[in-house]
Amino acid sequence: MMEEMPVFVKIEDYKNIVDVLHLMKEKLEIAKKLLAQVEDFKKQEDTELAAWEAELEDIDERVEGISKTLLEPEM
Amino acid sequence: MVKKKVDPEGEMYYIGIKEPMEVRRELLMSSRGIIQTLKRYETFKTLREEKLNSVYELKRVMEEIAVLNRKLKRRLPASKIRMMELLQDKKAEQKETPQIRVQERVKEEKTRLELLESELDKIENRLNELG
Repeated sequence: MMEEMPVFVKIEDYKNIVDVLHLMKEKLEIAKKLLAQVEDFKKQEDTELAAWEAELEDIDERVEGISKTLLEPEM
Repeated sequence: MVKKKVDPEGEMYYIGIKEPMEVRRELLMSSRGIIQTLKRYETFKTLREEKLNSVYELKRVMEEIAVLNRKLKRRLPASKIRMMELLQDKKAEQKETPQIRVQERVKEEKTRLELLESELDKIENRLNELG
């Protein structure tokens, strides 16, 4: 019963509440943008790591090739 | 590329390498790859720094939102539940003896994570009370 009763807020408090709410919404938008930025950086990092791995694999193959040539000399 | 080997009697032997140009080319390609990897590390480092900056900024904004949220809570009229909570807090404060307070100070300081967890518990309790 008590919970269903209307609640009244002083007019100056109400204005303040609306201002705080607006500010909160603005901050939430900034937070969303920042989170998207973090996700984007994370993706870029993952791409870099994948390329890094491929590069290492490539170097490994080359060194293996050189090693074979040097360890199996022409007689 | 030629490898020289000197035997104990002083005679020199040479070991032939198949396709020396190819070996040279492969070596150079490997060097290029290694340098590209080092360059990639620099890019990765920059990216990670930028990501960390964004994470710190995000944390700062979230803290601002938390402050605004508390402000909003204070501005809104106290509900039945909040009144009960305030009364409970007051009673708990009155019960506290100075001795207990001193002991509490001696206790290890709560970590930030523990504080956030206790705050979350409080919110969960309030939500449960609301039904």
